[in-house]
Amino acid sequence: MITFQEAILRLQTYWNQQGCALLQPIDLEVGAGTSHTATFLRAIGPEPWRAAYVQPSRRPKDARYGENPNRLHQHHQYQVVLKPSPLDILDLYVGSLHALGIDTKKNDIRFVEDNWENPTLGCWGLGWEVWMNGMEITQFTYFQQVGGLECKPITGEITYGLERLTMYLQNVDNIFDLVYTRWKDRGVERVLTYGDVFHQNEVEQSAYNFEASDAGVLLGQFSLFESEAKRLMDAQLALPAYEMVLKCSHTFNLLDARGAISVTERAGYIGRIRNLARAVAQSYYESRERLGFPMVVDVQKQEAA
Amino acid sequence: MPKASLLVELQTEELPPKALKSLSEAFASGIEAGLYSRQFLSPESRVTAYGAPRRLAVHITHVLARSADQPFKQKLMPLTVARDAARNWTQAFLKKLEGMGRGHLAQVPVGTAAGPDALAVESDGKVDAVFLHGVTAGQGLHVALQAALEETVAGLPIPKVMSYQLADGVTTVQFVRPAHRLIAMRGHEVVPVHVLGLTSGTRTLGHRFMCKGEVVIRSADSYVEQMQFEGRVIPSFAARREQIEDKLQRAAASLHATVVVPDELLDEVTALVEWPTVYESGFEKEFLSVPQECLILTMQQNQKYFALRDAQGALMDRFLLVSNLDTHHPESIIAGNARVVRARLADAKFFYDQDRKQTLESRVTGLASVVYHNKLGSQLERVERITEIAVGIARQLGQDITHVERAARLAKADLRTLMVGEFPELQGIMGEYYARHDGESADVATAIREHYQPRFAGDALPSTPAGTCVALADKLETVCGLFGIGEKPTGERDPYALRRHALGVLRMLKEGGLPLDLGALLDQAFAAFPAGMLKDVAGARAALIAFFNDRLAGLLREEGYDANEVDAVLAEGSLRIDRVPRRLAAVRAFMELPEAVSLAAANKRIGNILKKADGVPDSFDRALLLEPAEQALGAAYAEVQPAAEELFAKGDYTAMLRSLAPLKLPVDRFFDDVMVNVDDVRLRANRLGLLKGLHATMNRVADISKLTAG
Repeated sequence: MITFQEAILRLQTYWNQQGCALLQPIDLEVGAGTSHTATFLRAIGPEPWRAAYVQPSRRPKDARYGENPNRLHQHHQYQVVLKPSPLDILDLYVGSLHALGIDTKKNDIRFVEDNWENPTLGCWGLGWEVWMNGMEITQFTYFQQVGGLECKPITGEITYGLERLTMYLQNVDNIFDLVYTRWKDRGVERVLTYGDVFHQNEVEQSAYNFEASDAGVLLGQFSLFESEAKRLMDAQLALPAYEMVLKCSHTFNLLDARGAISVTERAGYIGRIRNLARAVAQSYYESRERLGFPMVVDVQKQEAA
Repeated sequence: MPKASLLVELQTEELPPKALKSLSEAFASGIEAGLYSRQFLSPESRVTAYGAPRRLAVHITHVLARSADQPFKQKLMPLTVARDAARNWTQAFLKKLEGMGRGHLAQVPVGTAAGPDALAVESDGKVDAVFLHGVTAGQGLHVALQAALEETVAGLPIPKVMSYQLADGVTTVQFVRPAHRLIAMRGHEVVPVHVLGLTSGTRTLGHRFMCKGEVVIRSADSYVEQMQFEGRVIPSFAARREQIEDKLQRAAASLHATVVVPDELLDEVTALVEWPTVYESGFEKEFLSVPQECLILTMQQNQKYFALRDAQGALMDRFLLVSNLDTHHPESIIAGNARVVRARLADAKFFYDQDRKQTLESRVTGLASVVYHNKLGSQLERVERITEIAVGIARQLGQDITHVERAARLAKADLRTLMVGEFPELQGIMGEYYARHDGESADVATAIREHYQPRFAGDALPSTPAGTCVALADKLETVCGLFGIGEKPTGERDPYALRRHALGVLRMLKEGGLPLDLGALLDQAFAAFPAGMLKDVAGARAALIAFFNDRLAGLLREEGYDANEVDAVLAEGSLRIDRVPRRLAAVRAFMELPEAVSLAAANKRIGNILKKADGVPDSFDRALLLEPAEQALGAAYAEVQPAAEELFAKGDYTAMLRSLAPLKLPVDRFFDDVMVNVDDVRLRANRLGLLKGLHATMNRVADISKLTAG
């Protein structure tokens, strides 16, 4: 049986062999691996990029006090981005399933159309959800637009849902029963479960999201982060500005989970974040342009040589 | 010229299942059209389209390798312009020949061939002119196919176009999903063409997991067989669909079950597999306590499974799934799918159990926070309007209003339930289940479900009086509200399905024979909106009447009535839709009378006379009828009119129209012998008065004049 952390290790080893930079998660609260600068910002502009990383992903609304076997306040994604997307990207992906020990001659793997859109970030792409025996195990997207900017070249994004995948591989019905790792302690088999690691966090974060968070404080933060993002963009500091946008986005998710935003207000907040995301995408593009897109030059030099 | 089969295949990544069929058909017909217009096909050419998740292909028989040379004849100039008095070619003519690259023809005598071309002097029908007889050389198939392929790829109905880069990482192309291989073969030969950065060859990829390496196609005609045996792919959409259906039926039969196979699901599944294999799986019996509509939708929508019913029609705890993998060890597939469906059904059961903890009644006030439309208020406001309209209708129909009022009040309450939140198409259906659970009367529960009917063209009408009242009110409220804020459908755009709503109202009135006036119904519905919410109610009402009339005309035409019959009945202008069928029957019977044609013509003539005349009196004085022909008509009219009116009042429209037959002869004689527009003002007014009465009587059931043309 493959443990939770072994699944991560195997993916790390596999994507290392495919020339990906193995990065660490972004150290801010985000809802998905797409929000990491290594995906959102690197997908912008002409420079090539290959990276892979685990991203803890917070979804305050999905919090269930650790009582639901399938839903979490925070789950983990394994994210791979390849830019430009190589022609054999699907074969590479299937190779990663083999690396995880999945026999594609006994398991029905299907690529079912699922186009991705995130209006909040001004993004959309085309792709599939990958089904294994009827269960979605991966989201696969060819980015077409990010932050309102056309992608050229396009980035291929592979997002594995680590909990779902390992629940399947371990034949476990409750997330908290997942085997995170195991070892021998003086000859005795010991097991660390997912619940041992994360259950208390789920309980307390749920209580925070739904009961203890202070809507007034959060609203104040939202406005503060928003104005900081604008100020930093004016100062041509695209990366710090982007972090402020991420904070805005997470604050909005907390307010939403708390039920502090009415249906009509909702559209207004999403519009504010979208405007920021578009502006910061443009700002990042310009910052790379000012540098002369240094990573493109390398590739052209190599080709010339 | 020898003919052979052509194969073109574009091998791609997994295509969008809902678009696959139309993409495959468009790909085939595009290549066909491109080759046909370039004269590469023969009358016996047969075209077969192929479409599978990872490929679009077309096979065409009897394709030429080279198109035939085409002789042509072109007029160049009138002889008088082309030749001067000395019979030498003019400068203008020589310039023209040069311009066509055929200057050499000036050097040889007229009528002498120079290469494939020759000049000739012939009459163009008026004057003699110089003609060029030439030949357009045929072209190779690769040239025509290249053009056809480019046109086809550019014209495919791609729902969302994808940009991607070719192997160089720089060149950007656009297609549905990345394409990887191109085959173009005529017989055994490759036809050299290129598209999307691919150069044609003989190689393709088979099944993603069951085929190793490439399949090398030997000839255009061996494609299907090779794909099946080497590639483990059934390239034909239709063949795959048939195979899936057959396998589903057999599997169901072996379980003594019937399988639920909606066409849409079958199409979608056909577009998701290249090598269909049917497996049986199941779920825990306890889930059967959830309404079967929920279970079936969960299986179909989320998982693309086929539900099974037992001999008694009850849903079984087994289902069929169509896999893309044929294996001797399907245990993982069967168990894996069972696990997924268990989680999904557990959600459905959770929703159902949670929803029943709260009554529908208790959810009604919560509808205040559900926005219906920003200009039309909340769902609660809408429910209040629907209730008012429904109760009004029930009163007019002389029905007990208690159940109608209750059903209308609860009609939208299920929008606040978890189940309808998850599956919006269960609205109304869940309402009925929950109403029964709450102990509402059967009448009310049924009406909650039925008030959405008819949900689509050909759907059943509500079966109960209460259901009918609420269904009418729901639809009238919808069309009046949206027309009242200017949200009319335009062209193809009908986001609120107002056409469907209007058709529903018409069908209920017409097929249900409800003695209600559509105009009065609209007035009632408009009156239910608070003052100021709608703009220009009079304008909206007029637009709605026209809108309903268009729908009604369309509906009647679909039922087989011709345009004249429909026009005649609708021009009459009554908004008692329930009477329309009898009026149409009467018109049909009338048209069988020998007198019909000339009565219709006379009616039209009378209408024209009255249109032009001013100050026509409402009656006439028989004493003032002087000519024998007008006296005869006056007498005949006096005879026919009271009886006709009596028949009309009884609603016997067929007999009423028949009773007009004796007017034919006197009317014809009147127009032969009597002049209407005479100088004597009194006589003229009296004759116009007679015609006016006649016209009104004749057109009580339908505008007879519309029956003249055709």
